[in-house]
This record gives sequence, structure tokens and C-alpha cells, in this order.
Amino acid sequence: MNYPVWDVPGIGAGLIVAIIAILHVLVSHIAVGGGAFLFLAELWARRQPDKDRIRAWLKRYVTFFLVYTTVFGAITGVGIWFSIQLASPEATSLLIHQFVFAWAIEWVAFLGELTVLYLYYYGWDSNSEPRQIFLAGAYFGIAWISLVVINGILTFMLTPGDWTLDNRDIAAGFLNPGYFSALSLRTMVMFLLAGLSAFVVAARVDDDQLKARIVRFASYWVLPAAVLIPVFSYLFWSRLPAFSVKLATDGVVGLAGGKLEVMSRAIWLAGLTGSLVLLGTLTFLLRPRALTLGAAIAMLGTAQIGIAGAEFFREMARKPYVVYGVLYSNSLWVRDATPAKLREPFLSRARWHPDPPALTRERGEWIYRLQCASCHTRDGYRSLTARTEQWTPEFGFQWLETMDANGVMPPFQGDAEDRAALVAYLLSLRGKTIDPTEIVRTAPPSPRAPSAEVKP
Amino acid sequence: MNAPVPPFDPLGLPVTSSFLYALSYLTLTLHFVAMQFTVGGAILMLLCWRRQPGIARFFGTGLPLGFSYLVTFGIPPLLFLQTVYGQFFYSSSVLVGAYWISVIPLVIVGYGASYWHRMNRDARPRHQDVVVAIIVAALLIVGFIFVNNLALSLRPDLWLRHYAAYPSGNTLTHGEPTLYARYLLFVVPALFTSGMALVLRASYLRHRAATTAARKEAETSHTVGLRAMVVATGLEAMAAGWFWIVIPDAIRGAFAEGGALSMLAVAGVLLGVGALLAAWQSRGRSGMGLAVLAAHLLVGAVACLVIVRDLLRQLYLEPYFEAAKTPVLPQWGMFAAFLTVMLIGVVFLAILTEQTIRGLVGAADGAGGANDGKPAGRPRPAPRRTRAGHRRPGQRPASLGKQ
Repeated sequence: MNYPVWDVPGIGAGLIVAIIAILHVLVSHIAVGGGAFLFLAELWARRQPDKDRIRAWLKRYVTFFLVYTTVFGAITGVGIWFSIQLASPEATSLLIHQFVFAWAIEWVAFLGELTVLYLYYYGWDSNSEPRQIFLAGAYFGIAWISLVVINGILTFMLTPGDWTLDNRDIAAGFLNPGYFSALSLRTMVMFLLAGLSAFVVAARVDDDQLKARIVRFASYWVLPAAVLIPVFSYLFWSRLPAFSVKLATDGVVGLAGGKLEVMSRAIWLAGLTGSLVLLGTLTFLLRPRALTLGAAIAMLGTAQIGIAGAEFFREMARKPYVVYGVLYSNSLWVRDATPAKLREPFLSRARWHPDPPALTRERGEWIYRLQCASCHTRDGYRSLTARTEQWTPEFGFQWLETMDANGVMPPFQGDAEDRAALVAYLLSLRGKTIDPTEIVRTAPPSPRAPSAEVKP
Repeated sequence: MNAPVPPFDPLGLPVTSSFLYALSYLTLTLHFVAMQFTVGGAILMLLCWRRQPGIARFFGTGLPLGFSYLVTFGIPPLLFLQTVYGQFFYSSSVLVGAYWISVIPLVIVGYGASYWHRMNRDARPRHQDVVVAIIVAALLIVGFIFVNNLALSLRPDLWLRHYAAYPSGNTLTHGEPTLYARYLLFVVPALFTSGMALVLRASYLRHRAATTAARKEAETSHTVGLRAMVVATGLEAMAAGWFWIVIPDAIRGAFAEGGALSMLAVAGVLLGVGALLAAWQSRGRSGMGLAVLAAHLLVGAVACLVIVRDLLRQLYLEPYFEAAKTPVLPQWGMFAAFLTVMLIGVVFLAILTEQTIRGLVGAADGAGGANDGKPAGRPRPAPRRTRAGHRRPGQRPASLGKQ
């Protein structure tokens, strides 16, 4: 309500965040796990009789690793920051003001890991053996610290625990109920992805014997992690808010009928892709020649799909909040969602509109933009045209009043005229011309149902 | 003022604003130097492509690192900017949202292309100039989007009209009269800084190299570097004149009143001119002292202008916001933790970098050629130098000029 809403036709701002985040999560976890891989691979290589050959392969790996993680990983990381500013400035402001120095510490870690990686790479031929091993280890340690820091901020959004706007208890918010389970889970994922990224470079090794040894070494990163990830996922699940668990297991009846089962589908997706990664790795282990570049990239792609499922699950588990129990996804503060405030004419409290006349579709469009567009689009992703297909003006008018009752939507903000204007606008998206005045006039008086009061 | 400026965040400032300003100035100075090296380097690379291949190669080697550190040093100033001016910055970002998010793919393209160029310039030399042109275009477009967004963040009076017309953020603002002058004021110094990088390179080559080719390369590098600095100084003066004409009367009046704003602006100009003169004087000298002094003066000039830029912002936003009056809900413990981590991190990185560079220089000396990321033979300990910095008899020269 304090900020303008980025009204992106067709895809919506939220999906842009999701796309960038999903791409970033893969590479950022490789960036951390790959550091551990480099460290142990350095130690392993130096104990082998043909260490120069293995180190030559490792140099190829680190070249791929450096370019991929510094160009794509670092910039998509900044991309998440840019996109959340646009999709949810209010929430970004909250996170920045609460965790600015945690973020600044993470930046120091980022500066450190980047610099150490350059020293490791560019000093490949001139660094002494112990120095090179030290740099690889230092890189991993620093990169993992950056994960330790950012994990606190990410988990805060879903499980802020005892943190409140009043106490601003940074320790409670940072070391929140979901912190350690998520950190363990992410650490396992990064080991798994380190092994998968090594497959990509190992696929180009021509010597079958050498390839088999590298595949075996890389498999030791994937297999234990693939087994442990479900265990840590269960721990993560056990720390979720009760309503998120209910949402995932039961689904929710959607606007257009049917059930919202996207969360359970996301869980299935993560499980299926995890199994495929496990099977693929076992295949490579037993038949190293099966490891081709295409197969290795397909494995990373499978992991990417699994990450997409997990990320969507995490995002959906926060419904209808962006910071659980504190700030709704459309930037309405929970503390402001009192019945009296919610019933006030919406545009009298909102800042970003040209004050369109009451009881017009134009006013309805501005209400749509400021209340709905942060999650929905008119006719694309999470389309409101599709979701209101079965609506009559009367149904829509009444539904809006209690739309928060199922727990996955924020409460509607505004009076009866606002609801009528929004209904008229939404129905106009399918070519129906409805007069908002008529909706208000014919609607039966219906006292506003109490808010569902979904507590985290 | 009838502008939809959001209220300050309910969490208030985490420490007194002066600390946030100081951190912002420090890191933004580093960001600007890295940005100017990268942008100017890419432009000079393109200009020198055919006639001075040694210079194009030098920047081609340095560009990926330039990109990397311009992004890395760009993060904390944005972080501290959002802490103090978030309500302005977020609003203007949404208003140009489509362009703002396009910064990400543009940087990926430019940064990726810089690595592609560096790794393929010898194996696939054809059309590398096109790759460099793509890098230059990506950088210049990103710069314009940044300047556009930040200029719009200073003009809340323009916001509502812009948002009502373009809620998808698919139009940049053109309503701010200082926009193009402001853009030039940020882009033109890039030529100055990259010229300074060439002067430093020339000085280093002269200092270490003994071959005629290396001395010639040093001469070319110095000439081109000085030329870039002189051209940049002239263009910057014109851009500053344009900016002076288009800024609001109140801002011009604040400059004329004296005080910190005008003193820092004058100091910045003097330091810049000092850097140019020191760079000029370093020509033909075997030591690196004057060139290094010039580089330090340049950093000082950038720091002064970073503060001037922020003081201007404060003047622009005075009707809407004063940081000093914003409530502070302190996080001193976290602040101390950050400073401690930063101190440890900087010392740790400085030691490691110094040791690794010493090894790299030693290896390059041992190999008698630039390694440029390629195998450089057996590493040797760094060569010892006499106190005067001259080579010992028989010591082989470095050849940074081939990079």
C-alpha cells in the first residue's frame, strides 16, 4: 500500500522473482559445494600417482566453476535482490532494515570467496602446494559462511519464530525455528550439486580409466547427500508452520473449484527428481562410459527441476504472507488488518493511484493493481480471468468480502463500492460490461465475516 | 508536497545515519573506480583495437576482474542506500521496473562476453571486436538505466504521473532535466580512470622491462593513457557546465553559498587535475612513485565527488526527508560484528593477495614472459630488488606489456 505495485502483464512480478531464484539456487549451491569438492579433490589428486593428469582435469573443472559461478551465480544473486525490490518493496525494506549488517557480513564473505577463488585460479601454476590447498579450503569455508548468513534471512521469512515488529529480536529472527534444518538441508544439496557439476567436466575426459576414477570420486559426493536429503527435508518439514503443513497435505479449494494441490505436486516433483539423480549416479558409477556431456547436463537439469519444485514449495508454504504472520504478500501489514481499517475506502489509504472516480471499472483496475497484481495477472500466470470464469457479479461481490477465510489469500481492503468496482473490472476482462452501481444496489446486506485469523 | 513518498520503514535506522553514509562513501568510491576502469577500459579497448593491440590485450585481460569487482563493490552502496533512502529508491525502481530488471541479463551478457573474449581471443580471433562492442554497449546501457532510476528517485513530484501512465515500468523517465548531463558526468570519468590505468601500466613496464619492445609498449601506453585523461577532462568540464545550467536554482544557490558542497566539489576537481599533472610528469621516469601518486589522487577525487553526489541528493530530497530526523532503533552489536568481520576479512585478503601476487610476479620473471593465465613454467621465488628499485644484473624483465 505504501509502494507502487509492478504490474507485469502475463507473467507477474512474482514469477520473475521465482525464475531468477530457481536459476540462482542451483549455481549458488554449486558455488559453495564446489569449494569443498575442490579442496578434497586437491588432497585426493596429490595422493595419486598420476596427480598431474588429475590436476589438469581439476584445472578444467575450476575454469568452468569460476566462470559459471562468478558470472551467472553472482549476477543472478544480485538479480534476486533487484527482483524482490520490484515485486515486494515493503518486504525488502523490512528485511534490509532488520538484517542490514547480516547482509553486509555476507557481502564481506562474498568478497572473500571471490578474491580467494581468483587467487586460487590465477595462482594455479605459481602457488606452492600447501598454499593451493589452503586457498581451496579457505574458499569453501568462506563460501559456507555466506550460506550460514543468508540462510538466516531466508528462513526468517517462512518461520520468523519469536521475532515481532515490536521486539525486533534479531537473534530470534535469525536463528529461527527453521534455521538449522534448512541449513543442514542446503548443505547436503550443495554436496550433491558439487558432484553433479563434476560429472559435467568429467564427461569430456577421454581416458576411460581416468574417467572411471573421477566418476567414482564425484559419486561419493552425490550418493550420501541424495540419501540424507530426504532426512533433512523431513526435519525442515517438521519445523513448518502448522497451516503450511495443512495446506500442503490437504490442498485448498480454489476460486474456480478444484483443489489447490500445487504444494503436494511440488513435493512429488522434488522426490521424483531426487530419485532420478540417485539412479543416474549409480548408473555412472557402474558404467562410467555412460557419462556423456548430454547425460551430465541432463542430470544437472533434473536437479534444476527438483530445485524448482522445492523453491515453489517454500514460496507456497508462506501463503498468504511474504513474511509469515507479519506482512501479507500484497504488502498489507498484518497489524493493519483490523476490521475497521479493512472496511475503509481503499484508495483513501493507498498512495499510488490517480484517484479514479468511485464505482467505475477504472477504480476497479487500480484496486486490482494495488491489491491483486503482486500475485496475479489478468490473463497469464495465476490468471484472474480464468479464476473468475464462473463468477456472477453477486458471487464475486460476496466472495471478496470473505476471501481470506480459506487462509491462502489476504483479506480484501475496501468498502462495498471498492468490491463492486473490482468485480466489474475483473468481469470486464472477459468482455462483460457490468455497472458497479448496480452490483451495490442489488447486493444483499452482508456483514463482513470475521477475518480467518490464520495464525502462524 | 503532493508526492506519494512512502513512510520510513517501521524498523527505523539500525545505526546513526552518519555511519551508514560513511560506509556508503567508502564502498561507492571503490565501486566507481572499478566501474570506471571497466567501462573506460572496454571503450579504449575498442578504440585501440587495430592500432594499439597491446592496449586492447591489457584491458581484455583485466576486464573480467573489473566486472567482478564493479559488481562486488556495487553491492554495499546499494545496501546502505536502501537503508537510508529505501522509500525513494524502491519507488523509482518500480516505476522503471522493466528496465531495472533488464540490468541483470545485460550484465550477464557483458560479463560473460568479457570472459569469452579473454579465453578465446587467441583461438578464435575473428569478430572479437564485435564481442568487445557488445561489452561496451551492455555497460553503457546499464549505466544509463542506473542513472535514470537514481535521477527519478530524486523527483517524487514526477512519480505519480509516471506510474499512472506506465504501471508496467516499461518506460524510462525523460522528465528530469539533469538526466543526460548526469549520465555524462558518470560515464566520462571512466575514460580518465582507464587512461590512468594505462599510465600505471606504462610506468610498471618502464620500471621492470629492459627490452626495446617493452619500452616502446610503455611509451604507447603512456601516450594513449594521457590522451584519454586529457579528453576526459575536457568532456567532463563540458558535462559539468551543462549540469550547472540545468540544475534547479536552489541547488545552484547551495553550491554558490560555499560550505561542504562547494568545497568538496572544488577539492575533487583539484585532485583530478593533480592526478592528471602527476600522470603527465611520470612520463619517462623509471620509478613508479609519480604514477602511483596520480592514482591515489584520482581515488581521492572520486571520493570527493561521491560525497558531493550524496550531498546533492540530500538537497533534492530535503522537502521530503531528512535522515538526521529519522528514528534510530539501534543494532550496535550487529554493527560491531560487521566491522570486526570486515577488518578481519580485509587483512586476511590483503595478506593472501600480496603473497599470491608475489608468487605470480616471480613466476612471470622466471618464465621471462607474461603468463596471462597460461602455464608459466616452474614457479620461482620473487626476485629481490635493490633499495632503489633497479634490477640486479642479469635479472630478467617482466613482460606485463604482452598481457
